[in-house]
Amino acid sequence: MRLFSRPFAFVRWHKASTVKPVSVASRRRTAKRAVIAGFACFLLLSLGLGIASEAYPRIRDPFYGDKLVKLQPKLGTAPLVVMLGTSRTGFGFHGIQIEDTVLRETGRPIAAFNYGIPASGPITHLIYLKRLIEDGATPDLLILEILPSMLANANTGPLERYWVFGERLTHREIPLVVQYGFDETEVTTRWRGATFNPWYTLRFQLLGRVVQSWIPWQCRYDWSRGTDRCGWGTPLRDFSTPEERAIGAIHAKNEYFAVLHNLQPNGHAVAALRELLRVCDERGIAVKLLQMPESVEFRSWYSPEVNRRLTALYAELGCEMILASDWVPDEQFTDGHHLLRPGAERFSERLARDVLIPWHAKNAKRGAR
Amino acid sequence: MLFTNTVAIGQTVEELRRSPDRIETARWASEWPYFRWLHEQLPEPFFHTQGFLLFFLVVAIAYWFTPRRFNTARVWLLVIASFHFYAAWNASLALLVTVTTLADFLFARWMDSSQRPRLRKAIVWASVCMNLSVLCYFKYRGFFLNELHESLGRFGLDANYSKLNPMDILVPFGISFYTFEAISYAVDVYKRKIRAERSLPHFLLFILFFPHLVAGPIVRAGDFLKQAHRRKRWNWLRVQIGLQLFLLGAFKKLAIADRMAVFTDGTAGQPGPFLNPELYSTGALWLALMAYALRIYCDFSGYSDMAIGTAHMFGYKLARNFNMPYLSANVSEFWRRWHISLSTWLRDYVFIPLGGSRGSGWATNRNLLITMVLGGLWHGANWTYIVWGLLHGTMLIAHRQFRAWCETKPVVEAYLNTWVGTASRVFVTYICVSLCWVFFRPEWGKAIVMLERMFGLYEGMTLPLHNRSLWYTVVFVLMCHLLVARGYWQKIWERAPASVLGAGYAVCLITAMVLAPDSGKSFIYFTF
Repeated sequence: MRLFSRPFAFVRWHKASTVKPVSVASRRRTAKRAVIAGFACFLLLSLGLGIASEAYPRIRDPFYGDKLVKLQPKLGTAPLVVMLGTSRTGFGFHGIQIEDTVLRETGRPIAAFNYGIPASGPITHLIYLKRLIEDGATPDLLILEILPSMLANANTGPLERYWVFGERLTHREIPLVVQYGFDETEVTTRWRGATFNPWYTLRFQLLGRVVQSWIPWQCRYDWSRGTDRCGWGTPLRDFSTPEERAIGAIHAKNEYFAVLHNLQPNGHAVAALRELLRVCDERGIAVKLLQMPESVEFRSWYSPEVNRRLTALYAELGCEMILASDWVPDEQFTDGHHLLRPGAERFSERLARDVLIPWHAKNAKRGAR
Repeated sequence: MLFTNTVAIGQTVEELRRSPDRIETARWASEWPYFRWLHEQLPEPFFHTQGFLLFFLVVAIAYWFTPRRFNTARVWLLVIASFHFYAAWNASLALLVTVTTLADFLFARWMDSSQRPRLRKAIVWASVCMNLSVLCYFKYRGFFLNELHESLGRFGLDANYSKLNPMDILVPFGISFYTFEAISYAVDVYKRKIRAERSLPHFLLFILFFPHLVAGPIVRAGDFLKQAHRRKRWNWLRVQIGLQLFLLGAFKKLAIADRMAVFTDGTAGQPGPFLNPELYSTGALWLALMAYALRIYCDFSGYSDMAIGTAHMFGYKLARNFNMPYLSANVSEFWRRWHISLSTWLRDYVFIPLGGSRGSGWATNRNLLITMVLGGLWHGANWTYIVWGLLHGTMLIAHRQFRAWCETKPVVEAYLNTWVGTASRVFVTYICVSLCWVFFRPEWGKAIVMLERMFGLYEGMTLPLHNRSLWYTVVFVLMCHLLVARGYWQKIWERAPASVLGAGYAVCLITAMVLAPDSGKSFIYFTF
């Protein structure tokens, strides 16, 4: 009150204070210790977080770590089906519904988990599969989403390098991404930043744990935290208006048309995909490749030549390929390739019936034998 | 509606893409390899970058390891470091600044040695004109030529030159600041308030000293040169105070100003209310204005704190530039607390020479208006800044009249001095000052649209980030102001144990780092 009644009252109040002033000599002694303590404290806290982030991927890469926390309680309870994919998978693979359908139809449970990560591709999937194996979460069946645009062979390296940065990787993973076309200097610099200056480099990962709303959506890492217990990122809405879909389609076209129209599926991304399949084969993990649903307009962006190239590639990979592109009607998309809730339910129901129940039955027979 | 928004956002993003980066890239390609290397090491003259911290560390070590008795060597060291600091941004302009400083030095020496009043006057005018010419050439040329082009066009005449694109004009960093320092020096020598500096390195340091070179505070020769001549001893207390100020500035810049910039300028995907006011709702625009007021305060006072702290670590005390301006109870007080080094400069070198408040009421009002319009023009070559200065001038006149009226009404005065009255005055001052910030940018049309939508009931987009973080920041800043105003902070830092203080510094730095937004924002006042 005194401050407001007389704007400069605080000055007089302070000067009139009866507290004995601290001597300059005493302040000088404290100053040295305070400065040194400040530097020591900062270095200690930085070092601590740097080490912790290298040891716990949940700090560095919450996309992976947060889903792993949700996956862990499911381990060992039933055959594990993991779908690794992009944001399309994130919104489309409804694990709870799939588990219910399979249990209802076969009487035997499965554990279905959605490992859909935005802007990911074969290289990210390979890293994540290796991490899952190391973390004791080896799936019995891996459904691997193929996002054709991520298979593009660009001169500048794989498209994933624009989203998967060094700070999300551990030191051991750097050679792997460099092998698949990531720029070594860039990856190493960003990894160093995350390790030696972690409070700044990992700020969005850290802040996102406390106050997500303080971060612009482009910088948020809490994608995996807001999912359900089976990793499904529940779409916010059940329907979209034709106008909203049209706007979404314009954005999608800007993003994908040029890549899809002349897609050359080879190079580093395809090599990573082959490596991933080799790892699965080595570990005895059953794999099914899947192309997620797309709207009619979106599908028209693939030229016939590109479709031929993709078919040839799928055949060459020697895995079962599930072409789910036309499983969902157009009105169940937000933007022609991300599903709304009804679309996700429809897709998951069909996936469970057409793919997982037969696999589960076959798996059970093999187990009985 | 949504479709319109998408198109407008697309246009703004496209406009943003036409940044001066392309000019910079072309310029550096033809620069000397040494300066190119320097630029790579210190790409931006910002204090809170890793490049600057390394630069500072190297200079500070060399400075304090130079024996105390070689004070001139220390001064030379700082001059060379300051030149490099500027040259890392633009080598040619660093040379230009050095040459004009040299000329100012010689003018002052000549003026000081001369006893003939007419010659002295001619010299001071030569010095002032030279400095103003350089300022006008770089900063105001585009504005005046474009205005002339448009005016001639209105009368159907051909100007015989094409309009200049403001993006293509390279304005030297800090030109408004060091020009004012040089002018004040020449005038002070002319008025015999100070003697002309005899030592070239000391004078070069006065203008080029890197902590205050690019955005002030505007230092006075009388204060600075005395310090430059004094031999300095290493002192931990000085380091602590300097470090503390630096941390405070970095916190203000990273955790508050840059964060508030997201509310005003938006993100890569959503241009903010200050860039596209036509898309935002009335409520969002008012909140954005509050964010801008906070942003500009923390941005500039944060920079000043870092500058003062850096200088302090070399043993130089720069004048305080801000004193909690948003707690001012009237506009006059606001100008005693906001950008103090500029307002006192304008008072001493414009307002008082014009006659100050010695003449009639009308003359005083006229002087206030002229001073504030010039102050506005100092900030930028655009009509919006002139309007901003005009508005502040008008508010100062209105306050003057109101104060005179209140003196005849003791009841009103008594009410205004109660805590309710003072709180109301603080609030009204804050609102008036904040509304003026709408004009504090180059786009006139957007300022008008913003004001129009603020005083209507328009629907539109919400802010690019959740409002909650804005409110928390406002409350936090207010709490800090009260903590400092009541003297608690002074007590804490004088009496807290060293370990607690040290931990506090570390936490402050870490918090600033964690709260920093996705990309570093430039300092607003660097463009002035």
